[in-house]
Amino acid sequence: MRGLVWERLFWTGPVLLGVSVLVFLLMALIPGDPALALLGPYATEANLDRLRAQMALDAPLWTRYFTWIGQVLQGDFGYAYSVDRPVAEELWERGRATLLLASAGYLVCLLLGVGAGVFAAARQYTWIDRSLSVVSMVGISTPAFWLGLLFVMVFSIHLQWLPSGGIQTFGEDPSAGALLRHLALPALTLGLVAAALVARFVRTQMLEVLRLDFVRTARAKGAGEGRILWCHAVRAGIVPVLPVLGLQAGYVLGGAVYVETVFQWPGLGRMLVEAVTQRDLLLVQGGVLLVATAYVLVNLAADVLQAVLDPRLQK
Amino acid sequence: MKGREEQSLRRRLAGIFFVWLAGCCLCACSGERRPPEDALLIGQAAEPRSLDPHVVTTTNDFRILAQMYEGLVRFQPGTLEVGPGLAERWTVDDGGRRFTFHLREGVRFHDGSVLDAEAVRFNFERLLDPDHPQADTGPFPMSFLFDRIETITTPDERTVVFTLSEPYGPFLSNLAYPSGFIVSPAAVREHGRRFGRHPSGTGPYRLRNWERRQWVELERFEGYRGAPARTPRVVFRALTDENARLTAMVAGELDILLEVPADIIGYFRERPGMAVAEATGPHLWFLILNTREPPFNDRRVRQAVNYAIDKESLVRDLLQDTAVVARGAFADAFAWARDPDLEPYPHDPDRARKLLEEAGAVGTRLHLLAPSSGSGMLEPLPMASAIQADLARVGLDVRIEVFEWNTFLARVNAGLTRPGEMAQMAWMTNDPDTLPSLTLSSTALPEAGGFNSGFFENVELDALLAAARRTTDLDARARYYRQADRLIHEEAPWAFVASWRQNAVHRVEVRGLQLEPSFLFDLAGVEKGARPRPGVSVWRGQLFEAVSLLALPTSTDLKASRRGGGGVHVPGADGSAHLKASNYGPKGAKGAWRVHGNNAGHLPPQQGLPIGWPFTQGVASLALGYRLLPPWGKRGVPPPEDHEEGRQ
Repeated sequence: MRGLVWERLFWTGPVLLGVSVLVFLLMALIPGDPALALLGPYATEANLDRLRAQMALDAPLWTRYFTWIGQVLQGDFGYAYSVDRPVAEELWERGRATLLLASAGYLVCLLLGVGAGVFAAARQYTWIDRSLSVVSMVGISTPAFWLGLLFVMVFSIHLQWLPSGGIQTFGEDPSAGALLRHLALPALTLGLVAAALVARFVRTQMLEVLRLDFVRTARAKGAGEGRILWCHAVRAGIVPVLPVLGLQAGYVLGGAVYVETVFQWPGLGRMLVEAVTQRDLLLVQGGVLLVATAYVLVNLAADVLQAVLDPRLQK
Repeated sequence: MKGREEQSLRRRLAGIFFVWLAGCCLCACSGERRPPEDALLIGQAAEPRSLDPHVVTTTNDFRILAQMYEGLVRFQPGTLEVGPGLAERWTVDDGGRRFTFHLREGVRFHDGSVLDAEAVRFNFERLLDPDHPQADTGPFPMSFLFDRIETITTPDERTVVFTLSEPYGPFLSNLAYPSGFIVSPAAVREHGRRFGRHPSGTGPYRLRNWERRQWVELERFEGYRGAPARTPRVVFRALTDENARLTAMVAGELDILLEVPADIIGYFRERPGMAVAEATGPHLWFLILNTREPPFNDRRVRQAVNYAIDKESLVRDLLQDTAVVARGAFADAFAWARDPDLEPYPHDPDRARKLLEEAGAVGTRLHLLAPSSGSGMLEPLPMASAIQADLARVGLDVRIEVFEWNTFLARVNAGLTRPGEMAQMAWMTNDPDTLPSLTLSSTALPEAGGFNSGFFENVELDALLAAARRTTDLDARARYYRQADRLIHEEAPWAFVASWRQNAVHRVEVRGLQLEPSFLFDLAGVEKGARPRPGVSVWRGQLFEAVSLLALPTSTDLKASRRGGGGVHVPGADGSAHLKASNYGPKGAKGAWRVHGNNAGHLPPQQGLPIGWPFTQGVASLALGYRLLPPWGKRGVPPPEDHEEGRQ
């Protein structure tokens, strides 16, 4: 068990290093000059040269890579010219916003996905099961940004219950309630689409588990149906779903880009899109590295959790 | 058995309770949230990069800066003519080389420091001198506007004298541009690189709070030299996604929305409670033609392209009147400089074909470079397709090549190299000299670091521009520019297409909003009245509207696909038949809008919360709770396959 964790942690290093090389090369390969992007269409050659020197863009590629990765290892991510502040500050701020949105979305995904899956399995072939299947098929095939727009139409424009976007409304004091109101629609959008797939997996697993002997034994011992379902069956049924849940966590992190755009959520996804169009190399590199780290760690956590829940994997 | 039923009932009741509770939470969250009455909320496409006027380059940022800073001189309302600003008067002598400005008395910056001649000198030295102690607060991309300044002297506290290396007519317009705004030296010294976050100017508003990624909030500066601003607070909200901007406006979260795209402006024109303000600016959208290589080294071919493009139809049908047809290289906004008698090239395919035949260029392969989007580029791809179709009709075979904006700029600024190469381009300028000097004079070839990407060279034009630049007398300059205007029109180094009209949608209770030809505006005189009480709208009848608005984002794509990448288009008898396809042509579009315009009109536009609402909600949650949350009873778990057997 501990060995597994250490082994996986050990491999995290090379994976992230590979990611760093890849993203650095990609950013170097895509056409477009960061200095030109910063100075705009009126850039003169003298100004461009001065800025290129200032940003160390005139050095050879490998020198730039090693300088950058060396500084990153010391905790210095460099300066983001497109937003006029250090990369680390920007990452910290945008990362927090994405973390908030992704965790809220993931919570929605877990509650609805697992709940609906178990519920449907417990009532196989009833109208509830069938309608949940239809809803989850629709969910799987619905793009998040479209669902988001639909929610905005209904809840912001027509019912005027919730704000159409942003993390704060002007003229409103920041409070937990206000934050929740702003979080509601984006988290629901993100969570619902992810939940649809989870629900289908959970239902299939639960149907298998509910036919197993130990469930019959529990029933024979007189355990209540609720207890059998939630205490015995779910624990056994959820283990094979855990990798899917890990992947969905990745989806929630990545899918946040669309949702952040639709709802103007000031998170990492939108930051990356803007940074790429602005050719802000250091910001893109730092951002991708952060997302990759989060992705690797979340999947590590899923594996560890699987080992904890399934005693057979602990050996 | 009875106990079980009781339990089941209890659980059902619990289910009902939870659904009701959730409904209540949602309702508690709702209620009215409208912007504060004393703040003007403005939605725009991006957060400013910085609030240092010397560092930024985009109109998006300039619009905020124009509320906070002032220059020595300023554009007079409604024109691009220069009047007094921080300098109450000025004199020009030494044949246009020496400018002496007399500053107003008692002007203070937001940080309390005094505006004096030294402060003005500090501003321009920081811009121009790489060894200045505060030169590292840059880069200053627009410093070239002032690079003719040789020396700056300050004979007394309120007098500044600029000596230029040569007489330079556009100097005053450049000073009126946001890049010439005066910043507080004390604040720059204090904050250094972070001055852009802690700005200090002399304008009617000062920065109160900059909530990153959310908004920039300005408040009235009580120490302003002129009449105090009418609205106490102004808020610029950054909404980078177009749909998010539109929904925020429709949801009542904004008072003013800037730069509404062509395909959606019609929606706002007909929506009750909204008004549209427009102003034609010094913007020009044109095609650069590679005049160094055939076929565009022949003037007849260049003119043929101008005759072939149906600009009227482009502007009316595709851009929905958010632009006007360009007559020549000088935008209409430069009324004092352009030739008033000059007319745009008419749409005349026959004449174009004749010119092409004379030049022997029928059937030539052309390449049209277009960006996928870009600052001031309007609708680059639909416009490229439209132009492609128009040129195909006179026998020119156009291939469109699309680039991402920054790649596009790098590619085009380096010069058009292939024969028959054309590139879309748009410029927004502050002085009639800027555009031709930077893009058409033979001293501005790409090799020399200029923007003359079509390699157009004309000795007569060079002489006219140089003469106009050396004069500071407005009438004399205007005479040169009129000649230049006619010459450029005749030589047709570009295909002149359109000038963008800046637009803004605002709520009707916002009064006094006037967009300027400089593409900026002055918010100090804008007032915000009380808003009619909004509430929860009934959604019956408005559902259709919601669905229509949802479909809007796809309408641009529709245009693009309809116009086709060349092969799709079927030429009609009328040259512009393809633009009148009922789905997006003026008739079709207006018809479609009218449907839901009327629909909304039947209902009161804003209706209060219906009294029956809590009752309806209660009944709905009861029903929903009962149906969705049946007890975990005997039907709770499906029997295993062999269960039936076991029971028997």
